Amino acid sequence: MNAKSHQAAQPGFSIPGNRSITNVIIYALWFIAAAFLTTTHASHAAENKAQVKNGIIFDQDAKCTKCHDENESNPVLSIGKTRHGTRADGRLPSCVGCHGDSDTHVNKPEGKKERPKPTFPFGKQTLNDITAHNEVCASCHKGGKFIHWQGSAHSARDVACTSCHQLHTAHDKVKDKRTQPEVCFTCHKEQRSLVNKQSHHPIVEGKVACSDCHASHGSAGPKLMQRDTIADTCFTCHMEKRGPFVRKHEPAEDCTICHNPHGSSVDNLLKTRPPYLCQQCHEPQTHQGGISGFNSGTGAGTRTKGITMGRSCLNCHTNIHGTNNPANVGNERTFRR
Amino acid sequence: MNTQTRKATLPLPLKASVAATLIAFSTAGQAADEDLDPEVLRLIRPESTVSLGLGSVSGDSQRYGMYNGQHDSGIFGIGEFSLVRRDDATGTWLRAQGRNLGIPQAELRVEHERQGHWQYFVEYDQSTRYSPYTFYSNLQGVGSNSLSYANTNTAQPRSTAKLPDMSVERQNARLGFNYQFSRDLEFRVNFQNTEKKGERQFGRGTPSVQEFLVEPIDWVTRQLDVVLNYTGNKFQLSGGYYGSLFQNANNQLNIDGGNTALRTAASPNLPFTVMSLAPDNIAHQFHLTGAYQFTDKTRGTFKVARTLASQRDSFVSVPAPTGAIPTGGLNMSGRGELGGRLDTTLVNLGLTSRPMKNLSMLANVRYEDRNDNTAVARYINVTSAASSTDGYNEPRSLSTLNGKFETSYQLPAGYRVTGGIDYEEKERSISGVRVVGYRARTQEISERIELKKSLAEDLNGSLAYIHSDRSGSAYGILQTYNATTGNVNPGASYSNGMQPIYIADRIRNKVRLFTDWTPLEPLNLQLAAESAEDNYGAGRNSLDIGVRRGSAQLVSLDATWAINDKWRVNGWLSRNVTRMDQADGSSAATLWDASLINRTDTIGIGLRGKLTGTIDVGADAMLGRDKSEYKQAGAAANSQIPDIRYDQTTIKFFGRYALDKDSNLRLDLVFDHRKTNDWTWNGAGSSGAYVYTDGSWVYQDPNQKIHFIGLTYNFAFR
Repeated sequence: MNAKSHQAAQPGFSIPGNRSITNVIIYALWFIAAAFLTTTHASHAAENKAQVKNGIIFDQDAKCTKCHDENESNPVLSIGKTRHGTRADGRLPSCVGCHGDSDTHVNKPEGKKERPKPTFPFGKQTLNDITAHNEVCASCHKGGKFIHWQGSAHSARDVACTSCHQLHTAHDKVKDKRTQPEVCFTCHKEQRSLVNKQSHHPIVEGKVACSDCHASHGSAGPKLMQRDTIADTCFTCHMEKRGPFVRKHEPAEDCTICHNPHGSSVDNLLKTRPPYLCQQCHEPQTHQGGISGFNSGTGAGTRTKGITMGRSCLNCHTNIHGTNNPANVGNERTFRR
Repeated sequence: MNTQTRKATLPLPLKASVAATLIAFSTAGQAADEDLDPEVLRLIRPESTVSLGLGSVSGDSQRYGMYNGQHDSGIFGIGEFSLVRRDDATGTWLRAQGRNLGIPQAELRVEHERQGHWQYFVEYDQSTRYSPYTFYSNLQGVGSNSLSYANTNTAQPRSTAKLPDMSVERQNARLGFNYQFSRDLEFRVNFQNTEKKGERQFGRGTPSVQEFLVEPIDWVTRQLDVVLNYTGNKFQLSGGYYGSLFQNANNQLNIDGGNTALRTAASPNLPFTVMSLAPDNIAHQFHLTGAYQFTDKTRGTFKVARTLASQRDSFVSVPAPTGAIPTGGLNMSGRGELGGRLDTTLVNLGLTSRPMKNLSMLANVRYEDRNDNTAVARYINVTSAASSTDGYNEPRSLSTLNGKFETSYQLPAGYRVTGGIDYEEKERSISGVRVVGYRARTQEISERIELKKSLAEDLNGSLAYIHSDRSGSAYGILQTYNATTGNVNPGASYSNGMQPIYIADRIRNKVRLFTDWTPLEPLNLQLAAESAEDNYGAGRNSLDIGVRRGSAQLVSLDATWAINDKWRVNGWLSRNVTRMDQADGSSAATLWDASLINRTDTIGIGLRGKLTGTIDVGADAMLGRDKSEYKQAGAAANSQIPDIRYDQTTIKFFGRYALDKDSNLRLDLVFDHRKTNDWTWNGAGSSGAYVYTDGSWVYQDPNQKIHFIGLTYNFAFR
């Protein structure tokens, strides 16, 4: 009658009976990983003798780095700290791979007062031809999670890759969940306002990032959802609401019918305070059409505290996402036990 | 309930492994590139950082400490590290990162990667959420799935017993591995195990009795993602398996004692002494995504997926009533579990093209069929000749068809015009005897047009207009079931007047403006404005109940100003107003309406600067003013309820003193003030607090002030 066993609960990849798997995995693998890193470190360090020919980061990059050091208005060397500056990765394009040959930029034509920009200057000049600049990135980043980039809302709205990403720095803000939201809020102003409301996901606290739910590079789901539907994306964290149940709350096909995931003035991210929220769908058959008020009593009649205060309708209809109770009683349809 | 102090601690194995990792990343033994200037090496060599310090919070905080690990007053440790090492010869990275190590929001990650070849990582993330309320109750057994009330009276006196603060802790472990077989072929696998433990507010009740309960949270969620990616020059393919599983250690909540009406219901009713909790469930998805570059200007994409979800958790034990067992037994279905099964098929096709230099087009079609194949059985014995149920469970299937077409043309003088049409059609299964308005099909068509212009090199703007129209098939008639005849009774029952908001006819008009202006090189201004109006049209009957009109307006202004090389300031302000007009009532005499208005004003200010060559400072302030109004009229005119205000002021300051090139001391100060007149639990004026029938009550401190001070020592090395 109490806690149940999971021994034969479900088929699949579960590990029966082991509910402290997180700790086991973490402790064991941290230790193994640390020990491994310690032993491999020495050999890697010994190999760290590769020399770059005629350059600092990449072979032949002196063409660029002879001017672009940290004392120049467009410093570039910090890319050396990043994945794009990892010289051993043969897939990487080097300076001209992204910025083009830029012959007139390197060798200023006579008679030109100002030095012409590189072929693909990025930065502010990206705006002059966003499609071409983005194609530079997409020439490599086109498989896996980038498959749906073309046709996505960001691509169709001419969002440049460099509007969100910074490449010449070790800390790309948008790849750090603490700083990612401020990048997204550059355009998404309403969401910035909402995440500061009293009921919110821990976004401003740096525990949830926009990319936990949204695939900014495109997806087959609506609203750039990480999964195929809004509900499926919510279920990745809130799987207890997935069911199916004996009695299901039908609008649960889309969690955002009742919840605003970005933030709300009402507890539990509800879009509207109950009973008003519930009264947007339910017929006033018995007590459902009651008026909010502060009459005494915890009943469910009109103007009572019971329908107005506390959790309102949810004071009784507590299993509101669905119930799996098979009880042979009429009121079980109403998510109350 | 877990009454232990929830401070993060590192058990011995973890401490040892962290220490070993520190040694691995230490600078000792790292080969220097002797040809390069040390200053250049500083710029191109990955950097590691370590921060150690102490923080102090002035008091227990309900709202401020809800998610940030600073819920309890007192002193705590601050520990963070980011250790990065790269072997340039092989492109092999070692990364270890730790954050929030002194508070119950700890994050740890170790990653080993040979770039372009293979990578594996292990990650741990702890996330604790505290309830923003204080609970007073005599409920016993909180935190377990066996609760009890010592008394069984109809109503209890208001409790003076304070429960320990409620919280839910999520511990997330993630393992990942990927391997690059070749330049084109990559294998990825991710496994995530999430354990969620704690407790949260729950309840039970009838129209006259409401009791406080606490739901025990002891859940495990597992997700496995296996993907094989092929990335060719023209053709890309990604296919794999995604499995997800949920397990709940408690599938039922047992309650002893409490109110008579809930505890000892008489047949044919059943008591509320057993509540069902979330059932175990599992889903398997197989998916294939691809793209093909037909020409250098035309690309097609697709995704197909098949998901098989099931729920076969054992049913709860249904408690017996006082008196005779209902006809058909306590569980009339005769089933031990639901036999829940949901089969979903997704097909998504997309095409993008740029047939001319100035013209781009995209089209997308998406079809999802969610087929509810849950076993159908009679769960409820119906004897009435006018029942609101026929006793069967009601599987709900849903199919959704989306179409999208958009074209964009670059006009002379920097203008770009974009037009698009979106279409959505939803088909829902409608079986069962219904008590809420329903329709089998809804469709919505949206037309969009947007004009963008680069007004000058430093001024850009866009203006968009969107019009949507949603309608659907005729509403089904709500009818009762006649147990005598075995059919639904002819004619309508109930009021049959509501248009549920999610399927209601709706016309939406939306205008959106965005400008970005840099009048001077160091100054940037942004203005965003949006206005949307929803009109739900005439009601289904003369009462016009349900939602009638909705609106939303947003105005937001941002400014960034680099005053000079040393000082930079930014600020933003937003006003967001939403309004919903709705009505309810079963007759003209009881008809009432309400205008639900929420207005949020938010202001943010940030400052960064250098006081001297060794001291830099920064400050951030966030002011939020939130007001909700509930303007009731009609039959409710004499039943006004007060507005709810929620004000937040958060001011943060930091100062950093550089000890040398690679180390500094940082001082952080935070002042946080939350103020509210929320009457949800505390009550307003003469209403008094909301007190459950069992005497439990809930309190929110209406005036919360918190100070935080933290001092950290930070150093970096390469």
